[in-house]
Amino acid sequence: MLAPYKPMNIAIEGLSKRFGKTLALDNVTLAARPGELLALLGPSGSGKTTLLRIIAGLETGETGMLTIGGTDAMNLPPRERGIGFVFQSYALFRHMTVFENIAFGLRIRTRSERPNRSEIADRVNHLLSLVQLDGMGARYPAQLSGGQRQRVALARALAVEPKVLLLDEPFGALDAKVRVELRHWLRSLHDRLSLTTVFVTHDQEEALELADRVAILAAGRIEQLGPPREVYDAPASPFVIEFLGEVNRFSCRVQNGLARLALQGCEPVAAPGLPDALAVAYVRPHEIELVDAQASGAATATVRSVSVIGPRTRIHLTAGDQVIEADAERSRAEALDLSPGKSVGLRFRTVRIYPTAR
Amino acid sequence: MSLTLAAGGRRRRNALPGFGLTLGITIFVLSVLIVIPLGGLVARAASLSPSQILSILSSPRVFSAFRLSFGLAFIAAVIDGFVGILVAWVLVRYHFPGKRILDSLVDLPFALPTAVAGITLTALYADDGWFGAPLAKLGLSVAFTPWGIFVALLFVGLPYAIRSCQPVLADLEREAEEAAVTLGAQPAQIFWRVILPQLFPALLTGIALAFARAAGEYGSVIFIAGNMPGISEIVPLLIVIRLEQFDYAGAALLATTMLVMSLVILLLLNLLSIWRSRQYV
Repeated sequence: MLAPYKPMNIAIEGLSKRFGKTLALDNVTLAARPGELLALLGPSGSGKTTLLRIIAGLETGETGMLTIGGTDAMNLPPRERGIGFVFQSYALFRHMTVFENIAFGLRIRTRSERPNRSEIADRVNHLLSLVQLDGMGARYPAQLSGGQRQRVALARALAVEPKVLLLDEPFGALDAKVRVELRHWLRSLHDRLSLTTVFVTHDQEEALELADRVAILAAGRIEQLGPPREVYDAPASPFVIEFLGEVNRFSCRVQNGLARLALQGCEPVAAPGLPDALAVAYVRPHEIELVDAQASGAATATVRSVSVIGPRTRIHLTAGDQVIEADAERSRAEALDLSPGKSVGLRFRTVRIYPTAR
Repeated sequence: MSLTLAAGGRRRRNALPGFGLTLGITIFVLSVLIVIPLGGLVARAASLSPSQILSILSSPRVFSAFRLSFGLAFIAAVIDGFVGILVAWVLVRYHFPGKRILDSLVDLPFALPTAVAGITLTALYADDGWFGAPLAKLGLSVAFTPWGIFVALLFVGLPYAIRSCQPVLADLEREAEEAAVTLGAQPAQIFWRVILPQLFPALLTGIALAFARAAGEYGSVIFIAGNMPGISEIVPLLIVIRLEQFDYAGAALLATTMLVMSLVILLLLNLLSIWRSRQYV
């Protein structure tokens, strides 16, 4: 049987990594709390996979500090770090059965540390049922679906009772439906095991739905770290808000704590604490309210096209050179009788303003 | 669509026409080059009576030639297989200056005329040669002994083993090895438990090809072997000797026996490979 996991933390301090001339990680400091599910989110090339592989010891960090469960791990070989690693491509041993794959980490131990045959069989069977693959032990990886293979990879990583679990784009190779199912399943598995888990993803929806906290990486730096709700509601930088889903971007000018958007008819927006200068304002499509064109204080825009996406309506608008995307309930869109060429008023429920980068 | 129907409604038109013609040529070529000559060989050997066959095959000189040819070819092929993995590993996994040159060097035994290989190896391993002199001091004579044959067979078989393993090694998933590392495996365990099993079919193919080449090797061997009856005389040479004595039936019998033995060994190796790979493909 699996021993209950003792939740361990991972602490990284001042970690930098260079590949030739490019700086893949730039002075990263990050900690995963015991038992938490932490997402590393970022576009490709942001250094998220490199960070995960350094934690695992598959890449060596150039400078910095790494501890796993309080032990300095920077100079430990991967096999002594007590990690379980799951690859995007599953990386199963294709010449071994599912059973043998899961048992691998136990079978290769030295005689004194190796459980006996029946203990190994017990543990593998327990893991098989944990990942809902009872009775599949005799199959070969080639006979399984993508989702099943990924669960075998997870069981194989769990078999050695790692201190922490590291997942590199675990759902990346799966199709959309299986991906969502497996995501929910992984969350409930994590809740049962409470094993400290770090997973890498480029899918913001996946990170926001699954993780306890999300670290958003860009160009080798951590842009923001926080619970999903916090990073979504209070993005720390233009990069974060642009990366977390669709958003409209407006240029504006801040003067005396008020931001004026470059939009006809738009009322100034409070921008406390920002210096008097050019700035950028962001509004998410669902934070735009469509009103009558003559309504006071509303910016005016022209409807270009309307698409119905299930329960929502996506309205493509223009105001001068500015392209604007807005979402509305279908009933609301129908009440306004939107059609291409028609003028409408826009009110912004939330506007986020950032100083322009210099 | 109408064309298909006109043709009887059953035959699908292939995008590339000419199945009938190409199959005809294939069968013709295979017949003329392979089936008819081999058939003639077997027919010639069959003209001998059973007692004649038995007395030829059981003569000590013939028996030891067979043992030498097949035994040395098999051992050389197995060694080639493992050396081949090592060379292929270096060529696939490491990057170093001169790698391209080394890679093309591998094919040299393919391309070299066997007589050239034979003379070169003989000169090197003769008791006054570069390699032969130090070995002779240690009391090991290579040239003009069975050891010489062995060296020649290793030489001609090696490229087959390397070229069989190289593409498979290049295709191996590096992440499977990384997964093994994170699960606690030592490098030796990764090689024996993760890499070698996946290489096994390619290794067998390489060994089979090296064996087939080595068993029939004539040109390079006769220079270095010394060709002493019963000691360093290979079967192909015995066949030549019988031909020179106008004993065509005897030569055909030896040739047929070689043919059958080679086929059986290749068949066994293939069966082993199929059995191994059917488990997981």
